[in-house]
Amino acid sequence: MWFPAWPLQRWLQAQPQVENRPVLMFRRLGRRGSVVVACSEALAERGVRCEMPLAEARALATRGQQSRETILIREHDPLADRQALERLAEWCHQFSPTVALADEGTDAIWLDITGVGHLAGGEQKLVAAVAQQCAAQGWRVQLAASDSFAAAYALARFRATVGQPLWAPPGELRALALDLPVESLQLSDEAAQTLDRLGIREVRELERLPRAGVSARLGPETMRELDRLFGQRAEALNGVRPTEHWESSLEFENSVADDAVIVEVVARLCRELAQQMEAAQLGAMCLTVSLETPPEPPWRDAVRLFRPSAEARHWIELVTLRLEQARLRAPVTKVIVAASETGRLELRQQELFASSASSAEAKRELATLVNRLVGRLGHRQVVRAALAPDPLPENSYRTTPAVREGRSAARGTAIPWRPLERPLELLPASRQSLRVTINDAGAPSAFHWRGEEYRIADSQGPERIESGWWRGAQRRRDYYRVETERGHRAWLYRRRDDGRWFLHGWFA
Amino acid sequence: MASAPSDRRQRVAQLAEQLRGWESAEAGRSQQGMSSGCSQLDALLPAGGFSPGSLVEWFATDPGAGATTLALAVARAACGDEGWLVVIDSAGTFYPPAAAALGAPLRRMIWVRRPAGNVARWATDQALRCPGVAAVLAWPETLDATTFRRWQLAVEQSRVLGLLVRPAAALKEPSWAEARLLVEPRPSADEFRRWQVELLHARGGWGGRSAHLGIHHDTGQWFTDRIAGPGGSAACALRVVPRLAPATLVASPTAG
Repeated sequence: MWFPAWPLQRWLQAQPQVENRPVLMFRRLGRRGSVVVACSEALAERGVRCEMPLAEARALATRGQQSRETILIREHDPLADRQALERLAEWCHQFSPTVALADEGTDAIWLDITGVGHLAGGEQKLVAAVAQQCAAQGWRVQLAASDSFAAAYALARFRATVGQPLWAPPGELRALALDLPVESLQLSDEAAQTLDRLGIREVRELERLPRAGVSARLGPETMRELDRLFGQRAEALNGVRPTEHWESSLEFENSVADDAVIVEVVARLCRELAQQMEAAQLGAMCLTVSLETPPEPPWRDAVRLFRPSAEARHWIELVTLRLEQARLRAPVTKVIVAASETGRLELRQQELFASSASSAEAKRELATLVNRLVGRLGHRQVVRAALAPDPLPENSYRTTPAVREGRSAARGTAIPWRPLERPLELLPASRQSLRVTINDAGAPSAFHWRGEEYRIADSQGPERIESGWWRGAQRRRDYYRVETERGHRAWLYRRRDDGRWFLHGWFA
Repeated sequence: MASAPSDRRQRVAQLAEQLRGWESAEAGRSQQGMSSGCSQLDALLPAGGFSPGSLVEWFATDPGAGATTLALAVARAACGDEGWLVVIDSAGTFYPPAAAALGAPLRRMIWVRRPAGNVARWATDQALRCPGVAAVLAWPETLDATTFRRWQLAVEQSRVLGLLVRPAAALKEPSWAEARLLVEPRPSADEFRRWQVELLHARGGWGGRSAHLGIHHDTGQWFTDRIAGPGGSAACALRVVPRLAPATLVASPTAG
């Protein structure tokens, strides 16, 4: 499929209001000024050609100009052209599973229709159908089908016309290809000039020349191109993979303000999407729900999941929790449920050993629990912890959101403490100020906390802990693990800067 | 007709036996409990250990008594090498490094931080219901009978071991726990942190028994010396069980 004047086609598609006005597209060539990339047919009739300097083209275009007709002159946007072509290539997946894009600069798409012709009642009918569908979309395309990709491109470009697709029956490729102009080969400028000088215009003339001589004079790529044209050489193509949009949406005829209806619709969309995704062995890692509420901006929320899931029941539960918190400013016109991130589902095959089957089930249940907790409490409150190499007790661990399973606490640090060396209950540092009695050795012998006296029977310390000076305000503390006469154990420290005592935790 | 009274007695005894069976959450299931690693603590309980699918209440009279330490040690045993632990930390004071030092699996621990009253109850309920969880550690301050009963039914279904550390004030509240244990600290001696743990009540009619136990400060090993019951104290051999906590935890590259 070759798209004549693609930059212009693409631009006109995006600007329907332009209609039939003549358009000229140019690109800048640095100091050498600007040249024409594409122009409307009306201008082409007046002599405007591609690669013509812009000034000259403008002069030609305005020479025979009728009254009050304005010419739109626009700069070429190669990136937008390419992106539009990529989108079109994706759209073409409906005709063939293998779709490929030409290199940049060639506005062509290849479809491999080997073995798919029968679906449309024959290759010829398929080609006609593709042409028809493209026309219906408003694209002008020159189509050809042939035994080799190079020949198909050459025939589409130089033999087919818009609305007249060309289908080369198998075996007739050679006859058709021989009549093609040498421009249909993708030759270097140098080789093309040499051929021009030699007066060789058609492939037939080139093919008659001795191969060894052609290779020597025009470079080996000329023969390679010729072989590609005749389908005698393997060709590599840039395949376009269809991106997967996992989305399910419903548009209301009349806008809806009833919460119950919206929740029900979201649930239905979730079920639809989950079913499709499960068939593809995929699960959602992130679910996005959008409610369009014109003229207000749409309401959107994303729910992240602990593991890929395709369980509609579970999605609905999570999404409903979020919907309950939604404050909609206008009635809803459209509901979209999308899986913005996906992951492979763990296979639910029959396990040989019951234990591993139940462990997979247990993992799924755990994922459901975590998603549910995160859904209600948020990422900050549902976490996993890992040790961090920081001497300061309140900094010697870090937390990661529980949903990022695997990446989080995977890196463990060796535990530097003995089993009962740290308190299970840690109070905020420097909050619980204490009155402490000190014995002759300088160790605490009693402390008062919440109006009660705790007499210390045994104390271990001091354990000197300091924060690194490079972390800003330095904290220097002497910690004591103390046991009261009744056996209760607490963690006290003396701030070395001012000698004040604090309770930092209980060995609960 | 002479045999009627003895028949009746037999019948009553039979019914009482059945009733005890029903009272136990483990009715119709294996009666063997899971070992906490501390044989004397296990021996306190009717099932000879902590039964998965049950709730256990731990009461402490004062902060720093060590009820959480014991509950966490049991949770760690319940998790084994694969199980997950959920910590519902209503007060926001739980300190993971201390848990890691005691051998709790941080990589398999979901820590729910500072959920407010109702949400904490809901989160605990959800965790207790989840068969993918091995143990839940929570500090519910107040617990109404309905919620308690609901939790108990939930764990029976999910086989989760629920460990509830509670203030002494909650002793008066009705309970649906499989066992209620009162933890009283005893002065440390011989490098062991020591406790007396009393079984206040257990379903199936046990109770009133207590055990002295301890954990070594440096190695984390259990130490128990004797078990005392209503029928007198039973002498028990000194026993040091395998280490509670590995000294280092080196994470494998794959997450559990």
